[in-house]
Amino acid sequence: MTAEKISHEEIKLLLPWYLSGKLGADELETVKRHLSECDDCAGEIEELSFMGAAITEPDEALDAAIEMRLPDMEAGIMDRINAYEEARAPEKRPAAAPVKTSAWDKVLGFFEGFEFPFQLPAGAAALVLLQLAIIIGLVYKVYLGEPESYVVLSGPEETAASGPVIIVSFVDSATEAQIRKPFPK
Amino acid sequence: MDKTVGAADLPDSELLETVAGGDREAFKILYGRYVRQVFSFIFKLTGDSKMTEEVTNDVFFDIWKGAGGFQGKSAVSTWIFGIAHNKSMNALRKKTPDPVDPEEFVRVANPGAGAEEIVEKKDRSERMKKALGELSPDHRTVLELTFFEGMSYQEIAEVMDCPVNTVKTRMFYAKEKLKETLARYGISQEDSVQ
Repeated sequence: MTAEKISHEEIKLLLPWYLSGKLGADELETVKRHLSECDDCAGEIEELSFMGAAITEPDEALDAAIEMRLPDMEAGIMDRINAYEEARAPEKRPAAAPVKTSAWDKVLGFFEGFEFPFQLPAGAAALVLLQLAIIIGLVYKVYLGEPESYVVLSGPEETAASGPVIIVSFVDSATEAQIRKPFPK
Repeated sequence: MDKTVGAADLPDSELLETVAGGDREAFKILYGRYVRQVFSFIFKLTGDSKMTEEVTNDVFFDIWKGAGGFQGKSAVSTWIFGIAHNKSMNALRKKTPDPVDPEEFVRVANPGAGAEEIVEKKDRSERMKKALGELSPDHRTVLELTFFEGMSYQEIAEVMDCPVNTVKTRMFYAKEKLKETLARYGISQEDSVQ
């Protein structure tokens, strides 16, 4: 819309925003020019100024009521948001920070549970237990543990066949007769 | 860097982006910036404090949920007032009309017997509220957004989701109606020059 094409009636409709300073540059110029030569619009401006002032009159009672209710209202909206987020599918929520779960973190977490003077004996006890576990492990490996190699009844040439292979192991005390018993020829 | 202090300095659009990421502190800052305006706007449309609190809560809940969908085509304030206007209109449609105090209605509607005394008793602000209260929600909205919130007619058209020419026409009729009601409640231009 160009400035020249705006009629008196159209300008009259723009006056509220002329008054509130919200017209674009072109419209503003047109309205200003029109006002300097139109008594009707000048009178309209006076009326609008009065109405604008009446509407924007501060409402102290309302302002005070808002201030009084604000803390409860804020608590109310935050509760509603929290409940909404709780109920939402986890994948739609913003990602939470990953929780540390490595073995080392668990060990550190265990010792963090002790107050300072008790951390030293706890550490010493843990070391003793660790040494004991190593000794027991070695003894088991040497004297009681599983043999490093297995004796199989079937020869390697049979396991060379293609396809899935099932390896069955037996206790050392088993005799050949006991092993062959479930598999008659 | 203190995250809260940083967020407090952000412009509305960036603050809203932060809210979209699920930041509750950023939301509280945005809430603090707009709650008074939104509450006041809704109250002036509905005239009901309980409804105003409920609608205000709904508006900010929608802001939280819809922050990610804001595309920046309008100002954040226009978007927020658009939600507030829409929610207020819905609430008003659902509301059962309050019974009118017949005595008060007669006093106001007939500036005859005793009307001047009654008018004198009321303070100007009260009468002003009543005069505005007689306007339709659409008329109150254009007046409030123009004079109180300082919005352009284009912004008001976005808030009310209607063509700009409708805004101008509503303003024209709102002004005519307000002129009439202000006179009825004894508020005149001469009165204001005190």
